[in-house]
Amino acid sequence: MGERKDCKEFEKIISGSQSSNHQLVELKNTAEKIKTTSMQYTISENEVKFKWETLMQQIKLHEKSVTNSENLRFNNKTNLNQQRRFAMAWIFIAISVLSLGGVGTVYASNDALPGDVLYPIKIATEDIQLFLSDEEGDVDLLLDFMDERLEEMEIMKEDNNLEGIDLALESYQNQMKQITNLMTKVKPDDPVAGDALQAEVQNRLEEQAQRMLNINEEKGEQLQIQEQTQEHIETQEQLKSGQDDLSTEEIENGNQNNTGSEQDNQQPEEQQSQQQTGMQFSVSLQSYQLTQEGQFIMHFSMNAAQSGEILVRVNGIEYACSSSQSSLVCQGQAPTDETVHIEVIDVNNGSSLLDQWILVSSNDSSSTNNDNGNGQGGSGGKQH
Amino acid sequence: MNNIVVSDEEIQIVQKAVLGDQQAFAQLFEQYYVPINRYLYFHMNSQQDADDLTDIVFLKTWQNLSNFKLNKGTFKAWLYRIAHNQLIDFYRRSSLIDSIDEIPETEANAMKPENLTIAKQEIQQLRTALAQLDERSRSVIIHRFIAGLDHHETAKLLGLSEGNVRVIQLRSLKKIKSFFMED
Repeated sequence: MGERKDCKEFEKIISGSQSSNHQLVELKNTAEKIKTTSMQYTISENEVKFKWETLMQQIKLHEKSVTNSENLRFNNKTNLNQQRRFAMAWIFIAISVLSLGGVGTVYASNDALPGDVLYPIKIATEDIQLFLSDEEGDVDLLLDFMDERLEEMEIMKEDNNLEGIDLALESYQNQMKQITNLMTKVKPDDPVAGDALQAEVQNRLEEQAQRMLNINEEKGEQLQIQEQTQEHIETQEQLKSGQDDLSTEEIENGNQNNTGSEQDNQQPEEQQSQQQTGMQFSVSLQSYQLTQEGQFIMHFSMNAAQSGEILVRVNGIEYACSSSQSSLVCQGQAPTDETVHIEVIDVNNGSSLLDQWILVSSNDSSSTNNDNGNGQGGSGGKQH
Repeated sequence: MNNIVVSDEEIQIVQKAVLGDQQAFAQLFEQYYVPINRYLYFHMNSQQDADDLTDIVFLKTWQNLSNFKLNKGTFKAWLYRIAHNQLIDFYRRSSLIDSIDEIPETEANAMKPENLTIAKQEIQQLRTALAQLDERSRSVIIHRFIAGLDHHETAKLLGLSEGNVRVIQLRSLKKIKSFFMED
């Protein structure tokens, strides 16, 4: 009660009334002190004018970038010209450094989200980083930037901001194209390092594909993201076939006939279809190859990540396989029989995920699809 | 002390700016740039962040001017609302919303005056005093005595009742007064 009375009286004092309550008068003086002290913080007129000019430049630039962005979205021209992007990047950086106090703006743009004023600066800064890095460094950077785009899409999804998702997705698509091109050019001196790099890229892309699917599942209607997921799987397949036995030049030249690229191109559609409709976990044989040392290498594709243990039998012999998000690779001593029986079993519940017979010609070391026990279909053997 | 008086001249300027008059907006910019920058500066840990955010506030203001309705409040209150929203957004993104409650005294003291363009010891002392308050109390004091908003505008912006604003204001002033006396 006393406090309310004090509050009322304090209002009168603060409005200029006289009072004998010294404590409240002192509080009024404290309030005055806060006001006068804060007023000492000021900026010169010249600086304010400079800020105004900067704002006008920013407004013009922002309007241009919004127009560009909208044109790109609505015309579906997502493939930005690299040189133009670099030019834009330098303009943004130069203006921000000159006008907004320099490094601070670029630093502040690190937290920018699609649709924010500083978002184009963030993207431009990434381009500059790529420009300054070597090709192998570019791969790492691009993967990090793509992770960042996914994070942005997740935040935008939480905010129900479809336009924001579009913007982040557009940038993600660009970076996906860049990394695909880059992977055909990077030639590490050490082949082991090259394999490791490819494996890392593949793993990261698979993780990203899963995140993309999660965004897609929860959003429900993001057709564009579905398309991106499809593109994602295709990229993984391309990388995978590159990891098998293709030279980088062959990928670059589109010469993929020795790994059954036609099938690889068909498979993502099947995977996509399974993911969208049944959502039942399934495995299909992608390739069965024989090496000169008499070893077999089998590639399976899975329509989702398998958390449990998977067992693979070849003519009744069990083999250890390495699995990642959407693929399974097995290697071992090849049976001498022309007929090979391949079984994939879910150890958790003992169910058969794949039961397939294939014919392997001893003359030309090719493998042929014979029968598909669980009706998966379309995964015949491949020449190698 | 904080009576909000909006002159007819300002109303006319705002009306012109709302219609897209850049000159009119320039006048508003000139009038409010420093107060908004000050408001953000006393809320934030870094002057650079305050500067960056002030620029963004005015860009947003320009972009959203057509949404401003003169009959729904003053331009000043609307502008501070934009600044307040940007501030919340900033802390949400930098995940510092929790840590702002606990701006450590040492950090405030560590900002040596020679490193600041606004090298006023009193300002630093005020920032340190404000850092003693919890976020809500600090916001009330900044809106009332640094931004110069009235009880109604402060209450509306912070989602409090006017009575609540009055009580918080009185209690916070007592704390700041004690701090000044100890210092």
